[in-house]
Amino acid sequence: MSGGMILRGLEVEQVRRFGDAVRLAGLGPGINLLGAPNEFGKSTLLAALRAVFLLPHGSKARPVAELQPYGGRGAPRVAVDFTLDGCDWRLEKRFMQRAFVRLEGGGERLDGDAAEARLHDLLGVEGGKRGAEAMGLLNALWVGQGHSLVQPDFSDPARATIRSCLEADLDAMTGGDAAGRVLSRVAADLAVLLDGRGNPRGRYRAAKEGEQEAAAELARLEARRQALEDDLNAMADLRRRLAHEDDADRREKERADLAEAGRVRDRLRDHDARYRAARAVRDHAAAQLAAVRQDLAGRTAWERDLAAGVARVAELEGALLTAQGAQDAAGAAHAARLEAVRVADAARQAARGALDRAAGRVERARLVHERGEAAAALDRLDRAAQAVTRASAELAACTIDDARMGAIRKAERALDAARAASRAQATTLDIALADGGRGRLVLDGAALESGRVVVTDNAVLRIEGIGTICIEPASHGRDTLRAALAGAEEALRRALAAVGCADIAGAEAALAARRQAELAAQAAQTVLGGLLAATGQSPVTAMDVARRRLADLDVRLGRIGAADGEDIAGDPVAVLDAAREAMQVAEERYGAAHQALLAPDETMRRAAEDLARLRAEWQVARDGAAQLARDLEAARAVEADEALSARLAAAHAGAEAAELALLRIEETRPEGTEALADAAIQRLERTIQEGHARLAALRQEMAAREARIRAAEGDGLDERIAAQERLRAAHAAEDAACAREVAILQCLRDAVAAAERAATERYLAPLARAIQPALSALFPRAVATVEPDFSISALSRRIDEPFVNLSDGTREQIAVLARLGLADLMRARGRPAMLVLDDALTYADSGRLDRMFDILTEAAGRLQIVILTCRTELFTGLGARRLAVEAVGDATAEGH
Amino acid sequence: MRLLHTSDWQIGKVFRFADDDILPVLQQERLEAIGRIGRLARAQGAECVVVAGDIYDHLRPSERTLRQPVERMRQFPDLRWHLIPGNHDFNERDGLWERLARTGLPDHIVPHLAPVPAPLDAAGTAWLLPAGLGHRHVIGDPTAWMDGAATPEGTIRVGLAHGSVRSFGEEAAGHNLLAIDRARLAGLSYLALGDWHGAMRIDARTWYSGTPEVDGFDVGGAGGGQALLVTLDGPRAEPVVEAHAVGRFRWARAQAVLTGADDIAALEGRLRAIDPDDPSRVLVWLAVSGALGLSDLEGWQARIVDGLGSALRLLRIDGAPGLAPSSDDLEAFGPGGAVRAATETLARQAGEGDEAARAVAAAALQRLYLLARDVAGGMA
Repeated sequence: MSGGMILRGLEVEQVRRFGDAVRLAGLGPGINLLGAPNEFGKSTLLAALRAVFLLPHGSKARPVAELQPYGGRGAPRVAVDFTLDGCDWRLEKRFMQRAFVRLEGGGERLDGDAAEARLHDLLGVEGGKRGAEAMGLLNALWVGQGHSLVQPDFSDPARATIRSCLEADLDAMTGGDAAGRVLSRVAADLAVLLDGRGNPRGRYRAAKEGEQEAAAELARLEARRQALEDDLNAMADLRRRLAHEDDADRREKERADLAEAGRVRDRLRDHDARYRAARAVRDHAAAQLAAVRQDLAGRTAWERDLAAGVARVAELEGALLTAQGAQDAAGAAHAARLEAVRVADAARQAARGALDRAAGRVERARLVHERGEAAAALDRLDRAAQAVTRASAELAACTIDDARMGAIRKAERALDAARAASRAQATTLDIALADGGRGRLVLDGAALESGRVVVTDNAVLRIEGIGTICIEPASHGRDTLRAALAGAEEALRRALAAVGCADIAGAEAALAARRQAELAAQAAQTVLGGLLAATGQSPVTAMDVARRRLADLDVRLGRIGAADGEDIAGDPVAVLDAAREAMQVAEERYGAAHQALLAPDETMRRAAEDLARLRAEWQVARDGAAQLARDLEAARAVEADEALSARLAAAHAGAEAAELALLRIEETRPEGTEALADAAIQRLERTIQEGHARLAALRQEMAAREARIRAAEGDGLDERIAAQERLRAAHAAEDAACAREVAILQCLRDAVAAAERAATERYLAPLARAIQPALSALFPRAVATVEPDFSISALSRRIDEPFVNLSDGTREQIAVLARLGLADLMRARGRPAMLVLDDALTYADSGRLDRMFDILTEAAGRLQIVILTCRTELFTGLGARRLAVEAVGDATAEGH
Repeated sequence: MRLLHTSDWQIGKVFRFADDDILPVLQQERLEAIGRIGRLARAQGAECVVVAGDIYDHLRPSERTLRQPVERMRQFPDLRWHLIPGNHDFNERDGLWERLARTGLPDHIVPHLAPVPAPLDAAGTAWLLPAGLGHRHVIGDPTAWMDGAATPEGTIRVGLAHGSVRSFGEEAAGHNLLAIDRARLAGLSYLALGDWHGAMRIDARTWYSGTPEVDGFDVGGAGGGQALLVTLDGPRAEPVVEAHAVGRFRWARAQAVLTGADDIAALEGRLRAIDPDDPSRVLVWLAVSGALGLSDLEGWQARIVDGLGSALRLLRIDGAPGLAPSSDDLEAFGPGGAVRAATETLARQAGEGDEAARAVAAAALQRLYLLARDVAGGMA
């Protein structure tokens, strides 16, 4: 354990829940375990440890205040015994009231700030500011509850410590420290010119703003100069105009022009009055002349109108005659059309008669034909009924029928049977006649031929030339047989008699005749049925119907009569068609004539209108002519035609005289018109008047402009513009210099930072190497990615897993491994290092926990590890030193 | 008779490169030159001063600027001051000269606004033919009328005009051009010209006086800072012209290529030698190039930028020496440090990319050297 730091004892008093002095007993090299329930004060002990090592004794900062006992004031006191590089040390601090520090060891005994300085030196930490914790790697290694999940967060001194440890491993100094100082100098220089967001500040900003302000001011000045130049130009113009307005000669001429214009206007007015008077005289004479002429013209017009009116009356009378003739002609035409209608109607009637006749003829022919048909049908019906009657009678006459025939045949068969039985009892004679023997042998009177003869009864055979032979058959039942035979014969005879037939052949014939009769009756019935089938009536009814129909037809024939149209030759149908056509023609003709009659008669109407109009006109013309004649007569009575002519001559002479007088006046008219003269006067007056106003306005404007010009000139615009341009250029140059300075500093910063990063990456390798064995033990084949700030950012197993994505357990384990690795690294470089784990590894499963135990145990061979836990059972397999908290009888006594 | 010929006072001139401290000084000195001219004239027995235009730099100066030269001239009532408008202060209607007239000029200050001969001195032995400008640019020769201008028989004819006897270049071609032999054509004893800021003799009777106080790093002729004392013994006599220094400031352009401490020392010596008695009278526009090691760069900053910059009235510097770090400079960072790596990155950047980016990288590199050394020094 050489080179390491071993905590051997910790005493606290007046620290939070520990009012009386207590001691953490049992501390030693390797793994130390304090298992105790929650609220026991484990974290308080850790806080006390941090305080005694890291907090200045004079501090009243919050971490110190928080050490005070609950609910009261107090002076927390902490003492530790530790071994560092083989040398034993005791450190004791009291905070707040009567604060002190004492460090003893290695033959030294230091108090106060000297003790603090020595302590910092021993631990390799830097004093904190304003009573805060000293900063170094121990801060990161001694973490409390809740920090075990996160990786160590290093202060700058801690980082420097690690870096120097790592650099020591390299062959040469990396200069990382120098780079850091350069960087901070560059950052400070940059901070003068740029603010936190990279915007210009200080003189850089002032230069930019100054340039903008100068440019704005310049623009304002330029605008003012422009305004001044405008004013100057305007002034020159105004001066020209003023010189023009203020010209005395011109004004005198204007006044003279005005007077002359007034005189011209007076002359014009005088002439105008005379002219108007002469024109009035002339107008009067002309009016008189016009009146006479009008009278004359009126009289002539009257005469002309009268003559025209008389002629018109005559003309209208002629027209009236013509119109009358036209109207008469129109009436005649109308009568002719009436006659045509009448004739067409007669023709139409005649055609209708002919058509009716032709139709009657056709109808009669049809009826005659129909009657023939009906009579024939009746006849057929009658004959069929008779045939049926006849056949029924014949059939009824037949005595035989199938049953009787059957009885006959049965009787015959019985007879035949009786005969056969008789024959079977009979004697057989086989005759063989010798030549010439024929006829010579006679039996019972019948000559025999060659062959067999049966003799059933006593018989006599006579042989000619020989004699007779009596033959008596030897039959014992001959009598019975004979009786049977006789009975059979009788039965047959009776059966035959029943049907009235002599023999069987007759019966057969009678039966055949009956069959014929049945067929005939059936046929007759069929014929009748066929005839009746159409009407579905009985024969009697049918015949009755047929007879009635015949009678009906006869009646209709009789109605039509035979005489009408019988004389007409030819085919009745063709005749009928011709009659129809004739009828059509007659109808059309009638229609046309009627149409002609009914059509509006324009000629006649116009003739009537013309007549009426002409009559009215004629009336008016006649009345007008009469009136004119009366008026003319009256006028002449007042003034005779001669008197009127004399008046005309006088008026004519007067008018000519007046016109002459007017012409003479006109010839003396002065030049120009009164309106033009008035306009000239007005214009000249206005010119003079406005000239005064313009002059006043020009002087006013000039005064205003001049004031402005003087004000502007007094400002020295050109000079100020030049000065402003200089200012702007100066600011621009300053701005450029600042921009260049910024660029240079940024370039420098980037280069140094990049170099430092590269160097850091190089010396990170030892740290990775320090962590790697433990890491491999916990996560086989895993490689950790170590960042330049010494944090582990990712774990590479199969793929890269960012730290934040890892499970709580894995993150906690990596955090512990990182601290372990760092502590290991420190120890290996001879720096004080020990590890305190407060409630760590609570997320680990049992497998991981076992491996962590192995790792911790292995590390504990080099490094003191203190584990604070509330779950003692988890750590039973660790084989750690068990720590206990014991009361101290007299802490101060023991301390000295 | 004797007269003093001057021109181009350019009162109210603004110098863009000048900062707020130096600008008023430069402007003030232009006014002081009037007093020096007056005293010179008085000392040399001149009766009058002819000012050949451009009394003012601006057509519309402020009221104070307008009155200031008048007040200076008012100090010399024994001299007649003959003024004509130039192209900077041409006679605009309702303009500067009318303002000036409204201020109420004393009798010995005589503006000549119209081309009318006027007596130059009280006795009328010499007549002035003034050709002031009525516009900034006048088409045609404003002195042409002098040829036919009648003056009393036997008197001295002195022309006073503003313009170029030859074109300064394309831009100004055709404006305010004066016949180079106007003095001969118009029978002038002397033609006093203004417009050019350096004194220059055109011919025996035709002179530019130049500005009395230099106002630029590039001025033609003698460079300005002078006034001409002209002695005219008669209408036919050739004028005797003497240039007298009246200016205070010396304006100089300088160039230097710096590669080491020697160059810096040489440059400092050169610039201080411009006016060893009073460097504060010197304005220098310096163009610098070259490259220096770290310590020399500090020397440049200390001796030239800070030292000379304070000694001279104005030190305007274009460019700057680059950094040529020595192997010792590099060693300061160690063989493999981050700063060393950064220098290499910046050195690479300074050698590639566009001009602006290269310049920035080079400057950053230089800054890094300085910073790193400061840091190292701070640590030591």
